Amino acid sequence: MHSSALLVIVVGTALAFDFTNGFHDTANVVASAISTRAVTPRLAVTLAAILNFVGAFVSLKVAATVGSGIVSSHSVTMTLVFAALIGAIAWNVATWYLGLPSSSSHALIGGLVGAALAAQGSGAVHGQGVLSQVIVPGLVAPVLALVVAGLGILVAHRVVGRVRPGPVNRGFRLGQLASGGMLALAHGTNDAQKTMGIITLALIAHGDISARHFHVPDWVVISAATAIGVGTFVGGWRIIRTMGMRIIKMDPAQGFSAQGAGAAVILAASHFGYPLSTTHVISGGIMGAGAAKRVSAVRWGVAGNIVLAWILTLPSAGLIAAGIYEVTRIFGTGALGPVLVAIVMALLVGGAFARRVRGPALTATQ
Amino acid sequence: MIASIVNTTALAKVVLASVVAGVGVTGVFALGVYGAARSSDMRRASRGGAATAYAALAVAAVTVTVAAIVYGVVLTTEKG
Repeated sequence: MHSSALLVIVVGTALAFDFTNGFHDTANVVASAISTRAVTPRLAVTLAAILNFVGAFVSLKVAATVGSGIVSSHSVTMTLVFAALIGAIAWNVATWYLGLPSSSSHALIGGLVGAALAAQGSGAVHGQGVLSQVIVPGLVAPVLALVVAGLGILVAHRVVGRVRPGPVNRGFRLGQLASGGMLALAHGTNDAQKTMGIITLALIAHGDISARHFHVPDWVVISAATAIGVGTFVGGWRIIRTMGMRIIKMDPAQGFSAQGAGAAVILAASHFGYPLSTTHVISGGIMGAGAAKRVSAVRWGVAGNIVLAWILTLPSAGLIAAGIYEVTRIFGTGALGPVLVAIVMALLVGGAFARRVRGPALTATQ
Repeated sequence: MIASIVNTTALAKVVLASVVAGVGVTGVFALGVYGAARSSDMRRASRGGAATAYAALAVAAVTVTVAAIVYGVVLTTEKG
């Protein structure tokens, strides 16, 4: 009874994390297509939400990595998974409130590693898996997207450089329907699977699935797909109100190249089960497409933010998750600890959101 | 040491697939845009043969682009 209540809390928290992931990342997925006027904001957000949902069904290899390649699934408990999720959510909300750079994916993996270290010690963490499946691919992917987008735009400008800009822009705007769609599909593929992996870990801890035969149940795929799709859709309407402040100016060819590079890198990495920070990859693509045309046009501060996010997010989310695990354990192994922590967390998030919404950051419409 | 831990073959395949798909698709689609734009120019200049040739280039390039996207998604969905 207690363990079933705890499972419901963990699954609910995981889906809430997935929802916030879609909500938060809508801007990354649709910004290029909206800024080049390839599609209207309404259509961009609707397509992104649908394709994020569809993308979650494309592959399950990232879910397998998160579910079995980072921490030992034999030593996982539901309290551990809960602490990992709360660590990731707390770090995401804190960085959002303070305006610090972050990555939801890194926060989730940092939280998982931190909670596992607190619960079982270093033996529970697959150090080699973290290095080979998370850290190295995570470092390579944004640079790869930057190079691919840069090379892509150089080739495109070589081909269409002497053609009148009117038809060229119209052509690439049309192409952005496909490249933007692929980017949304890739985003849904990689990010929704992280939540699927976490929920599957909780099901293993609950005894519903054998750790020896890792598989993701259909209802987990469908619910994670729905959460990220709805999060993208809801997040999009907030973006439409505030997009004047946020969108980076680029021409349609640059938008096509940046989106194509981001989609190619994320889909290729998903095929090999690498859980990436999709935000970092998309930022890399945008910077590459911008730098290939004019180096000074790029806001290189974004690159600095990515480096800072790297340094801060993994250890910070891990520390918070470890602390949450210790606090939860004070109340035993039942549902009481997670229920109390979830209530406190909901109050803190609600308070932070209310304070932030009152400020200028979310209401300006330049 | 890192090379012995990291699956460099898989990582190299990610790099190769990303470059081929990202740069290749952008380049081929640019050819399609070029073909469409030039076809329109030729039509306006009353050069029907050239307009048809450029239109064929545009159609071929867009077809290859769509095929490459579909192939990429199919590859990603494959188990193995």
